[in-house]
Amino acid sequence: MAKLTKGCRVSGVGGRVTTKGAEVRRENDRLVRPHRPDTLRLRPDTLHPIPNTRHPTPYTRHPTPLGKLIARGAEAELRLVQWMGRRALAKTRVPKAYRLPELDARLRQARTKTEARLLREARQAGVAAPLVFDVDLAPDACILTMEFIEGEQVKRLLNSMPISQARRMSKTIGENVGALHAGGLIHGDLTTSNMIWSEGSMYFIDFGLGGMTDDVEARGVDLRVLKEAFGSTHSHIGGCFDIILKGYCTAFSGGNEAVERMADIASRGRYTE
Amino acid sequence: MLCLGIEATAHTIGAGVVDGKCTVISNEMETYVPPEGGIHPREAANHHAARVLPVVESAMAKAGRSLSDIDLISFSQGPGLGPCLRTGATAARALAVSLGIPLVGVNHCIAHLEIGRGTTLAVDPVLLYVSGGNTQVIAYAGGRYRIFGETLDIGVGNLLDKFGRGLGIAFPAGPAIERMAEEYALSGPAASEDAGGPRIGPPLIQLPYSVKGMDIAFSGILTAAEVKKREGASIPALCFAMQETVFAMLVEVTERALAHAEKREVLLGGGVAANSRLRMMLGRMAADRGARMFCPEKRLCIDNGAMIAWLGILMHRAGFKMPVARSRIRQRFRTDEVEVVWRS
Repeated sequence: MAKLTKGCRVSGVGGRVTTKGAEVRRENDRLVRPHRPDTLRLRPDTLHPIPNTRHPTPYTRHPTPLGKLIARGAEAELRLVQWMGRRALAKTRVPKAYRLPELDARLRQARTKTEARLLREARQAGVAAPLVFDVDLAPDACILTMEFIEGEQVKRLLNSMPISQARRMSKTIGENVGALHAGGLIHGDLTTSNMIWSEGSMYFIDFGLGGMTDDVEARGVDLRVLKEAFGSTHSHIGGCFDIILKGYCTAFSGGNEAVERMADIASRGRYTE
Repeated sequence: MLCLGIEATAHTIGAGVVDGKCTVISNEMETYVPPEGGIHPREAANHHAARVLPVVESAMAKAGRSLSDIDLISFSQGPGLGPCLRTGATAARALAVSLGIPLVGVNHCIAHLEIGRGTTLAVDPVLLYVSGGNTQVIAYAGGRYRIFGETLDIGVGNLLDKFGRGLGIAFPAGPAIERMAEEYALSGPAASEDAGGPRIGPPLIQLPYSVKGMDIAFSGILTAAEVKKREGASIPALCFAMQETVFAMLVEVTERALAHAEKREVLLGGGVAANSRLRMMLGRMAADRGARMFCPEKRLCIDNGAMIAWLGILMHRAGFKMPVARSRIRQRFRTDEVEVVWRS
């Protein structure tokens, strides 16, 4: 069955190519082993147009003329690029001159790899996250190319919306974090700047400090990071954190245990009453 | 207005005189050095009780003023070691009552930030506060100094001291560790041509690097270093690895806080701020981000009375009142509990 499917696919492409007038002469029919999709010359009407395509350019690997810089975070630069004719976001973890090159490369590579993996795992856990297109782990690159999510940072939304909406948004945050933890993911940097609201979905990004584990302690730390970030960024709606925890516990059966551990971790910290 | 500030949170008993324009008129201190091992709170407090009067007298003499010129007494209310705090607070209360002038108890961590704002050009900085007991990244947001990141276990200075003790280096271990790390770094094949860049030294021993969001954890690093030592790693190589790894963690969380809080200034404070490698790393990070780095002079970075005096003035001018009956010390006084009325 599988073979037949593959054959069908090949004949489908063949049919499509011949109708456009392409021919392969017998003497030129040698197989091309590393036959990359981007070496094929396509006539514009061969493919169905892909939405969001403004300037289709063939995909080439690094070094690509990188697109427009749209954001600069603490550790990465985000650029709008074209990937296989599609609009995409390239996240480059830039080398940090302040730390030893050895340590720097190790951290950037590990985080790029972790992030690519966790973005996929998040989608499997039912949490919206950008689709990864390409990972370049060369020490001078560390580029993750992924789907570009157009939306608004939850951090900004929460600070501008009325309290009733903020409460609803908090519940959604909690449910999604719960789904992540239920799926065995730890985000590692849960802040509202790492959540994007786009077309009615809450996307999670920046998984570079995360990991896969069922460890209650790790979940507790994850929640504590969120609590601290929420408290420092959204001090005017500090009460909404309880709603986040409620949402969290409804989406994740082990939620109560993790919430208890969060309190325990906080009490282990310095200067806690 | 002249304020006398008394600092006694841990090892140091300090007294400083500051005026209303943040001119540090005098800043005297004495440090308790334990004969062996770590600090014992009671013994440090005994030291402070014996030395508080000479230190205050020396501060007044250096300032060329008498106690009757003082308008306000300020003291470290917390956080810190209970017995030490109580000694400082008792001295402050006695002075305020006998001179008949107001008393203000201040948060020690905020004092580190405010003396930076008062004596450097920093206006709205993110403070990386690194000392024996404290490791915090603090910035102003929504009327308070919020902790954007902090250690989940021990202070970085404490980590360095414990690490040093395991290697037979006496307290405070920081300077010796710094010296050995630098010698080791320079023993490498070639120094980087870039003066601000990291030196290309000999191999870096891998130690755990743990950044959790904007918080950091040092647990596991000490154990890992001990294991490496048993495996035959040299002491200078370990010192180098310790500094490079731990400081990278500190600078990284500071950079995250800068990005998150959208600030453009970094302030360095606390005893570990004396480390030139840490200064270099933080300065490089700031420069690469287009931010500015500031660091008060060394005697204002370490625990001192002048910073306590300055925060006392700021709070007093904002109308803050503290009757003696409500001047109890607070060992676990958190930075973000204080309403920063003097900045609004």
